[in-house]
Amino acid sequence: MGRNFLRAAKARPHFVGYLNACRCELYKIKSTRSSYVTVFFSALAIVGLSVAVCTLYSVRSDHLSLYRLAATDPVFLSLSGTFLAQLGVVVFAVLSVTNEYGYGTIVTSLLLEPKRIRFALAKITVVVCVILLSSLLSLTAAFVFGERILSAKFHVIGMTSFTAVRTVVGAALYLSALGAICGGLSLIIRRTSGAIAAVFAILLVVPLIASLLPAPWDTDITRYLPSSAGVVLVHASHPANMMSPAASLLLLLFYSCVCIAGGLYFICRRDG
Amino acid sequence: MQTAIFCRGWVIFVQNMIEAISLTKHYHDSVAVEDASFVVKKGRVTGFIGPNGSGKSTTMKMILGLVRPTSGCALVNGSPYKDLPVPIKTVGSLLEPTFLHPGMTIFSHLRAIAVKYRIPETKINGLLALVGLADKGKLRCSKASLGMKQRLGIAQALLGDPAVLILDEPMNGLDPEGIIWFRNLLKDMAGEGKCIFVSSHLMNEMSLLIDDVVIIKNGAVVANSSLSDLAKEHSNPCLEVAAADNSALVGLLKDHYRETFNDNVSFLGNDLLQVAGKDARWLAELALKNNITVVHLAVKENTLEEIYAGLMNDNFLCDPLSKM
Repeated sequence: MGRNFLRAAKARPHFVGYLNACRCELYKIKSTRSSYVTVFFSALAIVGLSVAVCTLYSVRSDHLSLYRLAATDPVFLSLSGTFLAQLGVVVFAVLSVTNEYGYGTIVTSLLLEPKRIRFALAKITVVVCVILLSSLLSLTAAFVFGERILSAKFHVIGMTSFTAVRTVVGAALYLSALGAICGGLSLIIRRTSGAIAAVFAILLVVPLIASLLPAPWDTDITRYLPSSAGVVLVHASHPANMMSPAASLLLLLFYSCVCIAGGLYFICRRDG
Repeated sequence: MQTAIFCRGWVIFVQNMIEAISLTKHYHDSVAVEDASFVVKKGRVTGFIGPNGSGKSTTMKMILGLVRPTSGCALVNGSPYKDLPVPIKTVGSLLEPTFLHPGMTIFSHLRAIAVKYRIPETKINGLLALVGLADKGKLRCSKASLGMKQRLGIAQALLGDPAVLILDEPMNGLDPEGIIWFRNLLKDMAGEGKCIFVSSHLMNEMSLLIDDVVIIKNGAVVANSSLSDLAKEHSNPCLEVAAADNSALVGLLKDHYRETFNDNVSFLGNDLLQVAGKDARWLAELALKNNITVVHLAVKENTLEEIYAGLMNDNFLCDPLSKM
């Protein structure tokens, strides 16, 4: 393996260096307790809330009006845990960056990897991959459990349909994009409290303020917020005044890129 | 003892493993380091000495690419730190031993670095044994004492078998055995041809350890030479003398020095005289000619501490901060 590795290293030193940096970041995440707590909280939130909400709906379905029944989106119900999982995902992504600054380990990290862009990209890559994998697993489980609970009273679509795959993968991508946004913002803000406050301001406070604006500004602004993209992605039906799922994914990609670019700019410009 | 460096088609021979070229760092309202140029040679232990806030750590961070210099540059083994292909295999460094993730164990802290460069686990265990933490691998960093963290930092610096070691105050928090062990370790490594750059406030410890010295004061380098050259240049050796009849010796010296007597001769306790600016032979012959019995005669070289104190007091003109 050694010789092949050397040959590969000669051929693509940057890529191999990046992979090495990723391995280091993955090991750091694996050996800290807070990452297990936050990732398991997210998974538990996704599955738990889905089961709870779906159970409540199937029990109370006889009391719902026909109109409410028709408006209920069973896919959204079984994936509703996504919005609670945001909490864990945000804390996980923010802590993985800000802990380095808080404990000063950023010094060691930058000594090991003086190419700062490579370090930051490796960190964000690993965080996003961990979120993507764990949320894909738990969202699939949530979807299957939710559909099974709802199937008695609602019309459900089954795991193999395109909409099912789109919503499950979409929700996972939403959480991953959130991780990338958090990673980028944390590189800019560097403090745990500040970064978490900023992210929750974007997710909770900005939509609230946007909704206070007079029409048509409220809907015009709300549809371009990252949280709205998340709402679109977990719905099988298309919510009113929102962008299409594909456009929402592009929007999330745009926000992620902006935040990561900002983070990279600041980590390169500042002293370690 | 020269290293060949291949750089843009040129072959350059360097003996200086670390080279600082007009390193300058200005923060928006203060000067941390001003035009610091010095070299650190391989096969030697070089001390980096200066008062608190004189820019020692900033200079080390500039060498290690953590702080971007306002102007100037630093080369390690002929290239900037950022351009080293595998930095920890060229430079091992210890800046701040307390910068550890409290939730990670001592072993996992090293393992995180090792997985990056595929350094085998046996190497970690060997290093932990070397620094005396063999049975502490499972201890969380939050539970480790300062001395243990310092030892962990030393292990981290040695992880890549580097040719250069940059250590900021590595002796802080080490116990006496640890200090002796560490001193011997550094001397052995310098003997193997490694280049060791170590900062410290402990002057007496440094004088036992170092071969060369870089002295920095208010961000400016005031001395960069070998310890023996520095001693020759700045020392002002004086004689310690005691005679059977001190008053006769004092009378003799008064005759010799006349009005400069008080500048050159001082009385130490226990009937000891200190005589400046003369060599021992002159004094011995003078005493012999006058039939004075000398019971004690010693040449007192200045210690590093005294040279350092002299440099700190004299060079006010080099003080970049005093102009502000």
